[in-house]
Amino acid sequence: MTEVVGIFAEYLCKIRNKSLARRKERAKDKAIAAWIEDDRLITQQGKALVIILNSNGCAWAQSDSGGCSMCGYSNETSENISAKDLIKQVDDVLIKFTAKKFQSVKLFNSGSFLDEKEIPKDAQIAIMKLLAKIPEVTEIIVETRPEYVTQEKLKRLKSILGKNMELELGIGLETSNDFVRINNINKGFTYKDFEKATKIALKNIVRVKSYLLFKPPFLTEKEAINDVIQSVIDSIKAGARSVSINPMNIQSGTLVYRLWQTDLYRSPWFWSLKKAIQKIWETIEKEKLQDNVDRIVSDPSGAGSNKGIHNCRKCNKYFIKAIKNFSLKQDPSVLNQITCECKETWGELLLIEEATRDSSLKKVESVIKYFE
Amino acid sequence: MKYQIVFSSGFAKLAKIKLESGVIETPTIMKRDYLKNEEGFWVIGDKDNHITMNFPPGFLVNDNKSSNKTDFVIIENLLMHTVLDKGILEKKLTQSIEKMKKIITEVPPEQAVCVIQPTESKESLIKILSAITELKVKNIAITNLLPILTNHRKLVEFLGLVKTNVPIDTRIILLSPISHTFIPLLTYLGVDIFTNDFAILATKQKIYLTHSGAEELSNLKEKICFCEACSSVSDLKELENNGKLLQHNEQIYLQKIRETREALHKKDLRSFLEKELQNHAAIASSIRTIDKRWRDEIILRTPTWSSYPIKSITSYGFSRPEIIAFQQRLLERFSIQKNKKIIVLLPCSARKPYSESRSHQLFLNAINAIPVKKRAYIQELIITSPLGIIPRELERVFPAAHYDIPVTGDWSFEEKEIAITQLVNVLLKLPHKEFTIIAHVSDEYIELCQEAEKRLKMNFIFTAQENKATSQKALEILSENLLSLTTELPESNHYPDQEILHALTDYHFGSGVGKAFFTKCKIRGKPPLPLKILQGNDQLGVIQPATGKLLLSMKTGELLAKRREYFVITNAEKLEGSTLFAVGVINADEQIRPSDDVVIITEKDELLGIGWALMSGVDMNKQKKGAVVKIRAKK
Repeated sequence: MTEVVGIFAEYLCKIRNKSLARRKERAKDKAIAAWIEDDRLITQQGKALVIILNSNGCAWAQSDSGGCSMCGYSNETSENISAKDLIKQVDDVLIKFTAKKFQSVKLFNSGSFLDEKEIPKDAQIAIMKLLAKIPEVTEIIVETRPEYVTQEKLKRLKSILGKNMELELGIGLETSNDFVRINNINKGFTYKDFEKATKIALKNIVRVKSYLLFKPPFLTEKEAINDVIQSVIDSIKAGARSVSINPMNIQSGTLVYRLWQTDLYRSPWFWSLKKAIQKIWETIEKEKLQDNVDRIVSDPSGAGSNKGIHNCRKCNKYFIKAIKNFSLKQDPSVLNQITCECKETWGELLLIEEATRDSSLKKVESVIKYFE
Repeated sequence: MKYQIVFSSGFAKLAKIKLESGVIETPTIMKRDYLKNEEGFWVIGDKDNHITMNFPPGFLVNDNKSSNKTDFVIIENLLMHTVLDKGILEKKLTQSIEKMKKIITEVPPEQAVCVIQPTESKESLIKILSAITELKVKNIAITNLLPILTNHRKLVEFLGLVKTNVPIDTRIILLSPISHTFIPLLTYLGVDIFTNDFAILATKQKIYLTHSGAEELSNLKEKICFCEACSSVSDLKELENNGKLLQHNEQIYLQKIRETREALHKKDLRSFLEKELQNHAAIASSIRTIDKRWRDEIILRTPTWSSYPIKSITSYGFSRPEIIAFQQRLLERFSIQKNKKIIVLLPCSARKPYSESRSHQLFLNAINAIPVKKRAYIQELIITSPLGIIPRELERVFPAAHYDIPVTGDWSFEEKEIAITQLVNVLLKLPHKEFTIIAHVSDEYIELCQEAEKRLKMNFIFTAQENKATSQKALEILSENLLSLTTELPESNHYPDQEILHALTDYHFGSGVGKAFFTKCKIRGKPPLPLKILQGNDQLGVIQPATGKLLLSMKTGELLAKRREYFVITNAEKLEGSTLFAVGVINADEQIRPSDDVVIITEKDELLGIGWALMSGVDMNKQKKGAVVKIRAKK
C-alpha cells in the first residue's frame, strides 16, 4: 500500500491546531454563505445556487495527519452541528432564494458531504429531499473525499433525486501525481482511491467532477502547468466528465500561507493558466477525448489579488473576465485576446525558476522596485 | 580541474579554477544555456574558458535526472524553507545525506554541488553545513535568497554562518538573480559565482541598468553610456531593437563583476565596497551589521600585513577589520615600558610614516633638543583618526602608515570618541604612576585630550594650546618642558632601534616576545629595500618596509617554536619544496591570520622551517587539501 501521509503531516497538524483554536464562533443553524452565479451547466450556460454549509468540517483536516497544506476551509466550520442545524441551514437558503431561477445547486460543506460524521445520514436525506422539490433544477453537486463514496449512499441519494436530476460528486483529486498529492499537498489519498470512487459513482449513474489544484506548493510554475495539464487529461480518462481547475488562493492558517507570507510562494500567473488550458484543449483533440468531457471550468478565488491567481496590475481585470467567459462558453480562444508587457517577464521567470529553483522570484517581477 | 585561492580576505576570495584549456577566475558570472531539446544548464565563467553545471532538482520530487554530463553536478537541493520547522528539516536532511552519499561515489566531491537556502534555524543550518563538509562537497549553491536580500540582519547572519562553517575553499554559487549593485557586498560576504539573470529580466522589463542602479528606458533624457551597444544607436529608443538593451545590461553586469575582481586583485575589496554602498540602503546597513556581527571572524581571516592604501573616506571605514584589528592588537600587545617617564602626545600628519613629515621633523627636533642621555625617558604617541593612537615605534606598521582620510581639522563625534577611547585605554595600562603627559597638540586635538584627562582623572601639560603645534613658540615650550622634566632624572642609554624591534615583535607575536628575540640589535638600511636587523654582524631578521612586517629568521623561529606561538604542527619529518599543504598539518595556532609569519614545527616542538600563512589558523585546521603555508626557510 502506498504511504498516504506526507512529509509535512506532523507540521501541518501543528499549524492546523493553532488555527482551529482561533476559529470564529458562528450561528449553528445559519449557512456560511449562499448566492446565485452564472455557471456552466452540463450542456449550456445557466445559473447556479451556491450554498456554503456551516458543518463540523473535514475529518481529514482535523485528523492528526494535519489535512491539506493549502486548505483553510476548516476555519469556516463549527463544532457540534446537528442534522437539524444543517437541514435548517438549507431550508432557510431555499426560502430566501425562492423567487430566483436557477438550474443547478452546488452544496459545499468544507469537507465531505458523504461523511456521516460531518453530514449525518438524516441530514443528507432531508437536504436531498428539499432540493428534489425545486422545479427547474437539473443538477446537484456535492463535494466529498473518495473514501466516503459507497454504492449504498449513492443509491439512497439518487433514489430521492429521481431520474431527471443529475447528481455530481466533486472530488478534490488536486493532481493525478501521487507524490505531489501526498507530499506537497498532504491530501492523504491515492489516485487509485479516486479511480475506485469514480467507478462506484459511474456505476450508480452519479457524475464525477474532478477538482484540481493549480500550482501546489514546492512545484515551479512550469511544473505546475505540466501537472495540471496531465491531471485534467487523467481525470477525464478516469471518468470525470466535469473538471474544475482551481488556481491556488492563499488561505490563512495554512502551510501555503506561511510560505506566501515569507515570499517563498507565488500564486500562479494567468499566463500559466492560459497556457495550460490551451494545451489541455489541444491534447483533448489530439487524443479524441471530446466525447468524454462535458465541461472544464475555472472559477478562481481571489483572482487578480496577490493571494490569488494574478499577472500584473494592468491586465488582471481583463483576465478575470476572460477566464469567466472561457468557463461559461467552453472556448479557450477568448483568452487569446489579451496582450500585456508582463508576458515577457513571465516567460523569462518560468525559465529562471527551472534553472534556480528559486521560489522567491516574485521579488524581481519588477526589477525597478529594487532601487526604490 | 584544480582550484587555487589567489587571495582571500575576510569572507571574500579571489581564486582560479584551473582547467586543461585555461583558467576561470572567480568571482565570476554564470549564464543559462539550452540545447535544442530545451534541456538547460549553466555556463560558468566570464571569459574564454567555461565550465557547466546542471539545473537543480526539485525539493520533493524524486527526479534523479541529475546527469553527470556537466562539469559541476548539483547532487541535492535541500528542503529547508524558512517556514518549515526543525522536525521536517532534519528528517529530510537525513534522507538527503543518504542520497548524497550514494551520488558522491560517482561525482568527485570537488565537482559536486549542494543547494541550500536561508533558514531561521541556526542549529539546523550548521548541521546541514557540517554534513556538506563531512561529505567533502566543495560547492554550495544558494537559492531563495531574495526574501532576505534587503534584510541586512538576516542576510549577514545567513551568509556569515555559511562562510564560518565550511572550509575556505568551498565555492559559493548564488542561484537567485540579484542586481549588479549587490555584487560587491555579496562577494564581501563570500559569494564566488553570480547569475546574470537580473540583467536579462531588466531587459524584458525595458529597464536600463546604470552603474549605480536602474532607470526605465523611457525615462532617460540622454545617453549616459558609451558601450558598444549604446554607441551604435543614435536614439535611446533604438536600444529596444536587436538585443541591444540586453547587450548593454549584460555589459553593466559584467563590469561590476570585473571591478569587484579587480578590487580583490588589489587586495582591497573593502574600499571598493564602501564606494558602492550608496547604491542601496541595504548595502550600507549590511556593512554595519557585518562589522558588528562577524567582526572577530572576519579579522581572523583578514591579512595582518598588507601594503595597500586604506582610503577611509566615509564613516563606514572606521569599523573596517584592518582598523579594528590594529586597535585591538595595540591594546593587547603594546605597553609603555617601565623606563619611560614622559609621554608626548602628538598630532598626526598627512604624510606617512609620520617621522618623514615636515611637522614631525619639527616635533622630533624639539624632542631631541634635550640631552641624548635623557631621551630614553620619552614615549611618543601619535593621535589620529580613525586608528586612535599610534606609538612612534609602530608608525611603519600596516595600516598605520597606509591610511588616508580627508583632513579638514574637523573631527566627527565618532572619530573623537575613537581617539579618546583608545588614548584612555593605552594610558590606563601605564606601568607606574610617575608619568608626566604632555599634549603637544592644538586646535581640535585639545578638546579630545581634555576629555581624556577627565576620564583618566589626570592632568596633561598642554604645550601648544595658544600656538600651532608646529609654531616656533610651541616647539620651544615643548623643549623647555621636556628639559625641565628630565633635569632631575639620572642619565640613561637610549636604544631607539631596540625599542622599535621590541614593540614590533610584540605586535606581531605577542606581548613580551620582543625582549626574548632581540638584545643589542640595530636596524640598518633604507626603504624601499628591506631593513636588516643586525646583532653585531649577525643578521637576525628583516623588516619589510612596505608592510612594516618583521620577518622571522630560523634563529628567531627557534625561539618562537619554544614558546609555541604562531605554530603550525606538521606530521612531516622534513620539509620539501616551498609550500606546506593542508594534508601535512596536524594542528595550527588559531591566532594565526593570513600573511602572519609562522613556525613549522613537529609534534615535539622541533623547528622544521619558517614561512608565512596563506590563510588563518582556523581555516588551516578545517582544510583538507591545498597550500596553507609558503615556506621561506627550512632545515
